[in-house]
Amino acid sequence: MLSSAAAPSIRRNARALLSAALGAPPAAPCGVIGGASVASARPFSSLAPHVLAAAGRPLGSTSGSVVAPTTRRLPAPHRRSGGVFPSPPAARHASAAAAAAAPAPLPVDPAVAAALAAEGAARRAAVLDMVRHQAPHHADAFYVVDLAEVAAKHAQWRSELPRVRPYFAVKCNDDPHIVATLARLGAGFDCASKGEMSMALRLGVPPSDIIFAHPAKQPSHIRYAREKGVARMTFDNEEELRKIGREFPGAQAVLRILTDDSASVCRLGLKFGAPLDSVPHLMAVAKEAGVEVVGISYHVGSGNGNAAAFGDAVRDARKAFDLAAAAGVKLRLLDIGGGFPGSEIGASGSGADTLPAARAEGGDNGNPYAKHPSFSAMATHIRAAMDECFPEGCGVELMAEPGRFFVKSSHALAVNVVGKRTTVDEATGALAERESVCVWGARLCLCALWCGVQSPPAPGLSALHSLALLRPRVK
Amino acid sequence: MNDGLYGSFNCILYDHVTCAPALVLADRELNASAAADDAIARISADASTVTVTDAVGLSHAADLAAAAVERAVVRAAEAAAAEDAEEQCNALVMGGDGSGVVGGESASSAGAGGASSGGVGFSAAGSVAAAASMAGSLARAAVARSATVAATPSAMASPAAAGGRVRASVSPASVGAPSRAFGYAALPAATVGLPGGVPALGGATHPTTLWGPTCDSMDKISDGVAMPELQPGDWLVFENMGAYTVAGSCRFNGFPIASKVYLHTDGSVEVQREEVVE
Repeated sequence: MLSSAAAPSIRRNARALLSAALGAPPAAPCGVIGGASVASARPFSSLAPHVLAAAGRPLGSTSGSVVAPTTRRLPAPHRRSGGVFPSPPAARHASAAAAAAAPAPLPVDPAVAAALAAEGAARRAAVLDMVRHQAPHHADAFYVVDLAEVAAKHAQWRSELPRVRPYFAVKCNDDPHIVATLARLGAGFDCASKGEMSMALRLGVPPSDIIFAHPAKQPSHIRYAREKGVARMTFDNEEELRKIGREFPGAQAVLRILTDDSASVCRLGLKFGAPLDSVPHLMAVAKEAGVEVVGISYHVGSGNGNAAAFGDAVRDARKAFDLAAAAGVKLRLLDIGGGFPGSEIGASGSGADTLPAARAEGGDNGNPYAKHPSFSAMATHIRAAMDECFPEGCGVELMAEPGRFFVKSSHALAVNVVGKRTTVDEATGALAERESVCVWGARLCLCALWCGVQSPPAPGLSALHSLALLRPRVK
Repeated sequence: MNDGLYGSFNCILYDHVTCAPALVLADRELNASAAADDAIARISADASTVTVTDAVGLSHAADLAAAAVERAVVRAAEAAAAEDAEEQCNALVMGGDGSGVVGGESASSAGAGGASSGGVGFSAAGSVAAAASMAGSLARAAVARSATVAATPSAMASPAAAGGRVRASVSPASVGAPSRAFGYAALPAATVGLPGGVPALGGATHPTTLWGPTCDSMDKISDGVAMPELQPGDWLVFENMGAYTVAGSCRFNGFPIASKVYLHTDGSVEVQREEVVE
């Protein structure tokens, strides 16, 4: 078959080209400064790794062929003086001020950007071609899963957040091929249950590369984690801490704190997260229960429309670190959670990094979710806050739990039309035809969704729109 | 549909705002796909000009044209029994401003076609397939910037391009024809719930409601999206369907969970079908 034969070599060679452009591995900072302008400004050691990675891409076999970026900028200097970690409410104002003076995004190398865009376009073409050639052989819906796209997203992560090790949130897509692909690339895994841990372990993921990240765990699952040596697990309340103490005294507990998710579509803080002022008490309980607390985690919520919230959460975590230190617990792990977009569809083209700002760009026709901050915008805030609160060499291990970021763009779903009904739109008269088409595979969990919805949709609204109305929107 | 459990709450509304298909593959045309491939090869090998206009559809038209270039080149490569499709090519990539050079030796910028603002040339030693891929991609990228592009994989081992050139140039002009020739109609990404639905790419469209297959009425996917008239047997392709989709699938109504076709990173293709409980 034409395409199935062609697609592999297309992808392989595109990747080879990309590797040549980026150096291999793509995001490994090696400390080579490619241009004099940056090197003369500051000593190497004071540059964040992402700057090193961007400014002096490791030169491999294609040495000398990489064009130096034409625009290079150092990260904006930290604007906060005095106490690094002021206490609220001053902190909120300070971080708002820091956010207002937007941190600098990564410099963009046009050649690398072009190569990346070309590679992405080639992959997309290969996927659509595969759909076209597979469709006649299928009676039901099918996905085309592009694992090279997953790898490309991993490279993007490492380029934007080189200090933060991603732990893929398996819940997002527990496909063994995806888990295996990410494991090969060096990712860790955020598992929510025994089943997810078991799957990762079966694929050869070491237990130390897994975090059992669920603040409310089933006791039998904690025992399973103990049996398998998955020591890291999250908690956000006293009961959970005591449960962990009973089931797995050697566990390394990670406290999930509550951060500002008010701009998120899915506000996980409604269910999880300990308020900052409970940190001292929980540290005391941990001692009593014989559980070692090793770090802090949080989740800014899914679909957070405010990129600055990603930086603010890092600052909140810093406060938790300090509160724990005051209680005699030296923490060594920061887990910045998830909430990263899986594609740039709808992303603000200009890099506007708040939802209102993005909406102000127009074009959303009133759809509140038509625009959102890009991953780069989020990463920019995270880098700035980390340089400020958890600088290089601070001894704190940094991790995250991205899910959709890695997998959303990797799947194309082909569905087959199985039925059709032509109706007449009574509102506009007899001539307006309206087709109603049933497709295979588009079965969702809308049924599960409706269980949680109290009122029926208003007449004339689609289910989806009704949901938008029913979900509380804060600012 | 898009995000399963989660998505119902946020992703359809948030980052899955595009809930309409990227492509419609007409059943009748799929069945004639071999003929379509021939047509594509003919278009490209003859260095015909595929013209495209319609501001909205420009990038999609570019996709189609670029795909034609890729397929033609790959076909040429196969015909010539290109032996080393995996060999890394030495490539020179000229950015729009002519400043970007990646991993390359000297090569000529493809200036054919007149007002070329971007182009790509590949050395003969390189992989023809990679050249095809890059040519297509760059064509897309360039057209997306509303530019005119000439993609010229040079020194091809191809009977169709005995002179060493396969060329497709894409310039702003009309869109309906190429999509038909390629066996599918392309739709621009649609935004759910936007007044007016999807702008049409030519040809009659109808406001269309897409439903899932269950005998429940809660499985509405999108409403009032302008689409070409669909027929049973047609296929719709939705992109960006990897997050909280399969993970939230269920067998409600006894329908199997969708099977998967994997494109592995090593280039192999694997078809995995869901076991159907009979």
